[in-house]
Amino acid sequence: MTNQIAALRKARRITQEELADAVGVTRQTIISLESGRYNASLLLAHKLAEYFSLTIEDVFLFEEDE
Amino acid sequence: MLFRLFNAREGDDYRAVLKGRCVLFAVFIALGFTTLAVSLFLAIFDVLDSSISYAIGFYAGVGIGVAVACLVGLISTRRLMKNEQKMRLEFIKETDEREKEVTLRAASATALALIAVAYVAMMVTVVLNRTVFYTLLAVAVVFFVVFLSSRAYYAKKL
Repeated sequence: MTNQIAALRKARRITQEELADAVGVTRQTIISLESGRYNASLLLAHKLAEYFSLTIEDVFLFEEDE
Repeated sequence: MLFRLFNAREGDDYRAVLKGRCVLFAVFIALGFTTLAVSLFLAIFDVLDSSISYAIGFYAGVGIGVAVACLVGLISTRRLMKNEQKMRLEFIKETDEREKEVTLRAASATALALIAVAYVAMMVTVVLNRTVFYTLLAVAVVFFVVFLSSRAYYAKKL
């Protein structure tokens, strides 16, 4: 699974700290999500998608072989 | 650190969680001082046989350790409760899903290491010291009983 968090965040000129604060996680979690080391739970994925006013599928890209 | 296992969950009233934690700290401080008092009683009235008098030092050490650690925890928790901003940050840190995952994985690795060490120790002590062997065996049995029963509990709960 890959995600568009870093690109969406940069496009909106938001810092990792601000995004973390908005969705109620630590900055380290945002860093791990952006680098692909950690996959978000459904709840966090929903919060992130809601924050960017997008659907979960727009933020997270599921690959067939996973 | 152990109190971190009783972390707040999302949606919890964090102030109430911290208040509960303060009560827990107070109980453990009382327990620590009680243990210390028992050790002083044993030392003053010379109740224990001289061959096991080292137990007095152990009781005193554990009592002081628990009391001091919980006192530090109590003071820092009460200080945290006075600062809304810090409280919010701490709540985020405690409810952060990645942090929880990290703790779960660490606990799982620790349990695995514990069983591996117990296995090796049992293999060695079975020929050296029967008491130590039975103690380790009891630890292993308790570990698996607790693991299987808690697994059954969570299998039904989730």
